[in-house]
Amino acid sequence: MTVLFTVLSLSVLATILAAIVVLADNRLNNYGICTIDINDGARSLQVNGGSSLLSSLASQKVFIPSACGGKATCGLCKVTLVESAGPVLPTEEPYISEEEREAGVRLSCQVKVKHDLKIRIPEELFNIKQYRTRVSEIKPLTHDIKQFRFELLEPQTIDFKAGQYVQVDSKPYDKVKESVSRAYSISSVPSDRNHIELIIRLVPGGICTTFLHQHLKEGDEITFAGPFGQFYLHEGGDELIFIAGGSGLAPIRSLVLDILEKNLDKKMKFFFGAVRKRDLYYVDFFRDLEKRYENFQYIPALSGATPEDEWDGEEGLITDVVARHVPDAVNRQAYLCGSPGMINACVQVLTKIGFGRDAIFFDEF
Amino acid sequence: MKQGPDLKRIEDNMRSGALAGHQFLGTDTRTLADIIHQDQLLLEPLGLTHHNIAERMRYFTDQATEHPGPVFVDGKFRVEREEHKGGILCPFADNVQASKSITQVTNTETGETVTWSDLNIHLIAEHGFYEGHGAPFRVDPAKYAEVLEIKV
Repeated sequence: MTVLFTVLSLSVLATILAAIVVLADNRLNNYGICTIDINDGARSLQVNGGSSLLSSLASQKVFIPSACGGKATCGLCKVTLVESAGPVLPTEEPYISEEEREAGVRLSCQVKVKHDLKIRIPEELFNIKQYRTRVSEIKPLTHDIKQFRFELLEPQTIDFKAGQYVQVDSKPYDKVKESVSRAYSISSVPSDRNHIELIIRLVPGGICTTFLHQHLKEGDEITFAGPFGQFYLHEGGDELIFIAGGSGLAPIRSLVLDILEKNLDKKMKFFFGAVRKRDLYYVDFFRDLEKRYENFQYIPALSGATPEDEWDGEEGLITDVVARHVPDAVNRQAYLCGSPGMINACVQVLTKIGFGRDAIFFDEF
Repeated sequence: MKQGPDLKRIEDNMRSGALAGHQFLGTDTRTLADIIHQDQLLLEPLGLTHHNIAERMRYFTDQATEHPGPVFVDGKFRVEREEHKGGILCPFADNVQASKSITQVTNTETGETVTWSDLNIHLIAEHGFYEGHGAPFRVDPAKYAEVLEIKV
């Protein structure tokens, strides 16, 4: 009898404690409606408190660049908080300089909206839109790279600068319960305003690239936000040095086609680095451009060619190839897109050749 | 092996696919605690520690990073690094993140190959975690020891 009474008492006590925890959780985590003031009243948003600043802004169609989808691994989603929203978190520290910290810069994915906030963002972000699209074509380019063509459904047109990128939203698949968004450069030409094309390499274990490569089908609808980025043609430079590897070909293709279409007075050299022949793609496409346009030169190079490749083109690391073909930096600009390692190595080589940092352009993601 | 609530939470997070498409555990139905414990048991007869394995992996990754393109290391190991943009967070919630880049080492004497991501080095060194069976970067500790010729 005593045992039964004890068990019953403990059960009742546990139930009461659980109810208290649930009530406290509801009360403490209910921040109600919060106001986000952007750029001193330029926009004022009412959002439900409790979510990240990044997702709260996105829910109101204000899209902040984010290549990692809010996991604090890209450092792109910086905003300036006019009033403090707490200390910089350890997750943000690698991306926030001392200067930025003093100016109130935070990663918006790491700031939780708990009360009214005043923030500052670049004006151009107000022009970012979310697009509903239909996949009109999926084309394999190499063993791990595919090209995706999207028809814009709503809105039906997009204005972007060649070289910019969009953030594509994945959908849940298999055991992946969440949708994520990731940044991919546009490879098509801006004059085709009803479509965009993306060139995407499969990242083993990558949530979004696995979705795009293995689950997305022609005819499916997906959304993206954009355009983002400062990687576009800048003033100056009679000769443009384009250097890419892997799916980094995407924005370079867009830039080259745009320049040729607009008949701009620029010479262009496009260096594309790959390990083996199977990693090359769009070779015929660029060879054809080379034949048709005197101001365009295409220089693919292999760093690990084997006899089976029967390769008679440039060999070696792309940095060595660039060093052989680019004598100096006079009236030249360099546009880079590829892995962080490739970009770092290229920046070093270009600096040695004489390029100033203001003549070298690349995306930070 | 008994699994505490912290490890259970981490396992749930891995299986949800919130951090990586392959969920780190592949098709493995064992608990996270069991996976780590059983890999520890596989390691002990070899006289090696997780740090021994991770140090050797880091050695090859560093070699490949310093010398882009396929590189021969110590005369017999063909090392290749596949760089990918972006980072991935450690699923053990320790605020560590690694790049998504991948290192592949082939022991040309045996023809055996092992492949790992930068995050695997941290997962092994700090958490003794080699991923679950069926996960794309799962490699048995003994296989690492054999292919990379790790000796005490």
